[in-house]
This record gives sequence, structure tokens and C-alpha cells, in this order.
Amino acid sequence: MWCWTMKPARFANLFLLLCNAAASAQPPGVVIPDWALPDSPTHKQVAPPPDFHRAPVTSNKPIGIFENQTDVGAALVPGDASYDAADKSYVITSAGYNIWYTRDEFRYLWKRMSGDVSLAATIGFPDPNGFGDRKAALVIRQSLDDDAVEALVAQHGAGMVHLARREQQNTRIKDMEYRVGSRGGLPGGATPDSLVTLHAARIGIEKKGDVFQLWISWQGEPMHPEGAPVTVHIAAPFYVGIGFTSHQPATLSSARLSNVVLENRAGRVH
Amino acid sequence: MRVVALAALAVFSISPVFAQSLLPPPPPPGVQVPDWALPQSPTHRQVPPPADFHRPAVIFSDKIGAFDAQADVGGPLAAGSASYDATSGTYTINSAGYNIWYQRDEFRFLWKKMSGDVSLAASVNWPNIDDFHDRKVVLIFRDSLDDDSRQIMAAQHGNGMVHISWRAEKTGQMTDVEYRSARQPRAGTDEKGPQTFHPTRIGIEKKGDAFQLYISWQGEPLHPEGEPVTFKTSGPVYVGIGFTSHLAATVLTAKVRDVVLDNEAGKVR
Repeated sequence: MWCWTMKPARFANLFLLLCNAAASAQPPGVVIPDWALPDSPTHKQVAPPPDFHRAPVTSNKPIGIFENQTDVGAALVPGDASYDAADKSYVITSAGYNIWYTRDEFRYLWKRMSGDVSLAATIGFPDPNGFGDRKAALVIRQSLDDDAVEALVAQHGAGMVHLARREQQNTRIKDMEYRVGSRGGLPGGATPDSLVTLHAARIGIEKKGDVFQLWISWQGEPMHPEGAPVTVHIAAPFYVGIGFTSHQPATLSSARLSNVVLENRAGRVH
Repeated sequence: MRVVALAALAVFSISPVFAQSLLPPPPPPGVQVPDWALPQSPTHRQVPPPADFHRPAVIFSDKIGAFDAQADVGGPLAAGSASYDATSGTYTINSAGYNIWYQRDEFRFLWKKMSGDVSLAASVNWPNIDDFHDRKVVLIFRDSLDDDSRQIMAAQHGNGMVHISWRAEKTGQMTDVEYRSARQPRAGTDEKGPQTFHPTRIGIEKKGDAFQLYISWQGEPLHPEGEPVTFKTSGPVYVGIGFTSHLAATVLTAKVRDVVLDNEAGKVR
């Protein structure tokens, strides 16, 4: 995902600051292909080459309620995860160019399931000044391949929440995005009229047959469906889980997903 | 300096993203529009009206549809008008007006006075989607017809943005929480940049002093969006629908249809 540029002019300054929160320096000894670099004032983000893939790297480490964890798309730097049973929270650390276009790179904590699913989490980013496009995702995928058919909801560092889907393997992903902000009602604005991003209180995804619905609570109101559902056919058994990508090919960052709720039926997103 | 340069670049690079015009049209000839009343543009920085500037409302006693009367709140430089087609349940509202923001407003307002709880919802149609992007239709509660009245509203903008916004104190500044939805351009099409979703329907519910915004983005059932806003009311308030072009002297048009107006909470649909 590249930076959102549809703000009226008066927001442009603030938005650029959020959006271009600088990418860290590249780690020494790692060669990063140009296509893997995110959008920036000096680089136009592009899709990976059509025939480019990397096999998943699975850690064989069960964690919390999940069977296992995998670096989908094998980012140039390996990921990691930890679990705190006290608040059912997972801290996922990952590099990865993106979860977009025809293939993904992210750390994925998963279990195999069949039937309907309700999955929800509260997202936090330990580094508030991290790259704006990093994202924590609730992901239902056909396989661990980097170009798998999938439906996911994701919360980005800069606040955007989307419902995204790859309807066919190795095809370009599509999405529906939601952005919320306040002028005058949240702390941190440069002026009382500055648009300050509101970060969602909680997000969820519901699978009911082949229909996937984004659920959201923006400010602590009861979780509710947001926007239209999408239809994606993902055959049972499939992978269900939580993930994170830094949106930077060789730079690690982290997200905390807490109070994770996972049920094997629809109508239980809360 | 680098940030300033980037911001300037962004200002000039966003226009292809909107279907609507980001550039305000020039004022009609022969009308003197004060500088403070001009909207934001690449060549003008939007500012509030002068602190002591007010204009009285121009009030019309014409009943229209579900509403008892109409007013040009803030007396815009060009007069508004409205009509109602009972067959299609559609209000057509024509209005100029610099904005509904800062410490005063200019817009065409169709209202009735109500007490107690209220459910208010409507669907917005833009006869010309390419009109100025910041124009807005409002579902609004006000203390009075003064241009600086206390008020709270749900508003849908020409660019698809929906907000709940309020002026907690008379002549005070506005506060809002604003919602936007879009999708990335489809591969293999000539779409450029994010493509806006315009909501299907918006609503606002008054339950005591708690005001809740409702949105349906793509035909899903209207649902509460964000937390309710507390806004003190006492006795009857002006309740209704309105429109401003966000252009001080240029009249634009909005259509507002299937208006639900119930004197109880829980009826937003």
C-alpha cells in the first residue's frame, strides 16, 4: 500500500509527516532489490516481478492458541513472536516488503481450521514513530505460499484499516480502506483545526461461508460491521491467524495484538 | 524546509485523485467576496471569519415536506432555495455559503422545532459529482438560527468524507470526528490513485444529550460509527437538513432523499 494522497490540501503537510516517518537505514550486508522499496519522496513503489516468489520458512514453534508460525514470503531478515498469557497478547516482530500486489512477506501465527470463523484483536504499535505503512493483520489464507488466496483485515501504523483480498492465487490484491481523524477533538494537533489521526480501538474479521466481513470499533463503541462484505472462496482446511509486516524489506519492527478472540463460528466477533 | 517543499508538492499532486473539483470556481461577476470567505486552494490559505463578523439569518415561513420553515443561516451572498418532490421523497436544496465551520455558518436550513429524542437519517445524491469537493449536506440540531449557534450535526461532503461535528459553545470553534473510505485503483484500468466510496446513507440519533453518528458505507445496515458525543440541550431545538456549497457566492445543488425524522431514539434506518 502506498501513501494516501487524497487529503485536501490543508492536511497534506501533516499527512506527509505521518506517511513518510523515515525508513531506517538498511542493515549492512543485505542486498535489497529496488522493487521491494516502499513509496517515498525519492522512490515510486512498484509490484514485485511477476515470477518472483520465496518459499515460506516455518519455525515449528507453537505459540498461544496458534499451532505454528511462519515467515510467509521469507523476508530478508527472519521474524519472531512472543506470547503473554496474562492478556492473551502476542508481540510479532517482522520485516517484509508488504502484504500487497501478487505476493506477501510477513510473520504469520496460524492454525488450520474449517468452517466459519470469528477473529478479533486490539492492535498496538510499540514504536509510535515507526513507518506509517507497517501493518498488523488478521488473515485467513489458503496456504502459506507468498501468493496465496486470502482475505484479511489490517490496521496500519498511520491508522488506516482495510479489508483486503486476493481472489485468485498470484493475482493482485484489492481492498476497501477506512480512515478516521478528528479536528479539535484529539490531542496532538499543531493547531485546533489540524486533522489528528484516530487509531481504531479494535478490529475483527468474520468468515461466514465464502463471505468475509470487516468489523471495527473506532472509539470503544460496540464492534460493528464496516462497509460491504467481500466474497472469496477459500477451501477447507485453511489457515487462520495473526500477522505483522514492517513494510520494509529488511528492517524489523513490531506490533502487539492483544485480547485475541478466535472462534470457529460466525457472529462471535467481539 | 524539506518538509515544506514536500507539502507544496503534495498540494499540487493530489488533484487527479478526486472526481470532484479541488479548485474553487471564481466568484460570480459583480459580487464582492471577502478574502476570509475563500476556501482552501493551492493559492489561498483558508482562515476563519473575523471574530466579530455575523450576518442575520434570512427566514422563510414556507413549509416544505417534513419541515415547518426554512432559513438562509448566516445570510450567504447569494440566496438559497429548496423544493420537495413527494413522489420520490426528495428534497432539492440550492445554497451558497462560505462554510459550516469555525465560529459561524452559512447554509440553507430546512427545520422544525422538536423536543425529546430524535432519529434523523437520509441519503445524499449529488446532481453534479464534479462540483467543489468540500460542499456538504448536514443533518443538524441547533439552538437557534443565529450563524454562531451551538449545534451538532452529521454531514456528508462532496468528496465522500462524513463527520460528526459540533460547536459546544455559542460563537465557539467547531470540533469533529471524520470518516473516509476508499479503495486502491484496480490493476489494468486507467484509475489513478485511491477511488472514493461515497456513503449509501448517513444518520444521527439524539438520545438525551448523547448524539450518535450512523453510516452505511456500501449498503450494509446503518450502524453506529464511533462513540456518541455529549452535547447539552434544554427545551426545543431546531432539527433539520441543510446544505452549503462551501463557496461564498456560488449556489450549488444537493438532493436529499428518503429522510427519516422520528421523535424517538432507535429509529435511524
